Amino acid sequence: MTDERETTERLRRALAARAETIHPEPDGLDRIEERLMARTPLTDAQRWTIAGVAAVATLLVVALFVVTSGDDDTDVATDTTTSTTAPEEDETTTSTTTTEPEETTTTAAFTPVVDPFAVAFPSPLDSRSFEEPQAAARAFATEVLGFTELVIDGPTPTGEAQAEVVVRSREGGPETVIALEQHDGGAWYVLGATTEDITVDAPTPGTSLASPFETTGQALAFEGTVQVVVLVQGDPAPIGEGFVTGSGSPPAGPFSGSIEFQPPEEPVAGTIVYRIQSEEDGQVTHAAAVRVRLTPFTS
Amino acid sequence: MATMAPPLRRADPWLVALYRAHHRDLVRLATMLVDDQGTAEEAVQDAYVALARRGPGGLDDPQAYLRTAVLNNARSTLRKRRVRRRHLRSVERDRSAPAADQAVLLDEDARAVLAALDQLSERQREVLVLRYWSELSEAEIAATLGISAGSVKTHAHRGTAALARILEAP
Repeated sequence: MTDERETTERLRRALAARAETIHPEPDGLDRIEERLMARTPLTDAQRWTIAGVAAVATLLVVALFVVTSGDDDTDVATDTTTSTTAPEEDETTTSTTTTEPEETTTTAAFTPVVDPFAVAFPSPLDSRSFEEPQAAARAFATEVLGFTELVIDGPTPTGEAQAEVVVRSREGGPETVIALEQHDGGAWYVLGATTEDITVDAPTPGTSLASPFETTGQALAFEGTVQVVVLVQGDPAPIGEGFVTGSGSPPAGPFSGSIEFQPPEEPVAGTIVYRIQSEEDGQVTHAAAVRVRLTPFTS
Repeated sequence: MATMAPPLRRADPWLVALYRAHHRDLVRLATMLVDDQGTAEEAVQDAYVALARRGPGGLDDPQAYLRTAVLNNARSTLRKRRVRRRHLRSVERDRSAPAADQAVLLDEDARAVLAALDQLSERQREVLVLRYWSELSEAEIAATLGISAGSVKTHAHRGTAALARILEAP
């Protein structure tokens, strides 16, 4: 084998030679200044904050209006709201009118703002939320991808309110990259996961799937075997499972397969997880995950 | 009397100083990672704009901040490019083919080494470029990439071994 020092010296010389061929454009500072002068676009978090403040302010105004008008015309309001449920309880009508605006405010202002179909984990309908991307990635890796042991690197910012976290089953093991996005003024959600040894061509993120569905791509795994699991968002119990076979030795080889799942009663958000397992103990070593829409129809 | 146009808002002197000190090397670093100078220049501009909006306060090492931002932007670009390629397979570029400027200006050995470098994983490539072109220590690379020093050592060792294997192959 070529001596390591010789290889690194060749690399050092090649990189130095390559660098000398690169001459930055002379107007770099001008472009930076132009962009500094441009209006800063709002981030998603800022947009949601503004929308939230506006919604709360509007509802406060409405609530004030209702309370104020209630003072002038309490009898009319209470008669209307209670006549169908408790027509004889005139003495309780005052408390009924005072609680209604508060209930309305709660329902309208705190409706989940994250579309369940736009994220893989956690379910926006879940009471659980993650303020740190690493915590979201850790929970996703164990609950959805199926890792039992975890080494975590990151998070690494990848854009405005976006980050990725790298997880491995052991130090130096193959990487699984978990992509995350921040919504709703701070909560982090997982969008999906990728790994170098699995490329999923179909389904693509956001696809509507009926059972059975075809999945294709390339994979490099022990004996070429990749486990495919169908999960409904927020439920760790698979509704479908199967295997596809790629290549057992480099390079990655194509796979295709048909996977069945138990059709849900209505369209639900779900995730297709592709797992590569250790030849030694069967533990998940790396995985990919694609968020999809699972439909009740059969194909 | 003629009126003067309002002056453009210029970058603050501290940013200009950082630009003059590091811009060229950052563009070179980004170009070696994304293999496209136009995209690399944008990644570097993004980093300077982010730093300008953040301000100079609270940063011990603005150069390290810029380097990390450039790497993150470059990585993000590569990911988006991969996704795009999955959808547009017909326009997939053969990374083993050297860019035109490289083909002209680099000797045969350098072209072979760079082509081999392109075949490594993204993380191995980043570690090797930071180690052998930016000449950063393992600790500095770990801080730049947000990974442990042990991971840096592993990526460097495996990347170098893979590079040697590729270069030895007939």
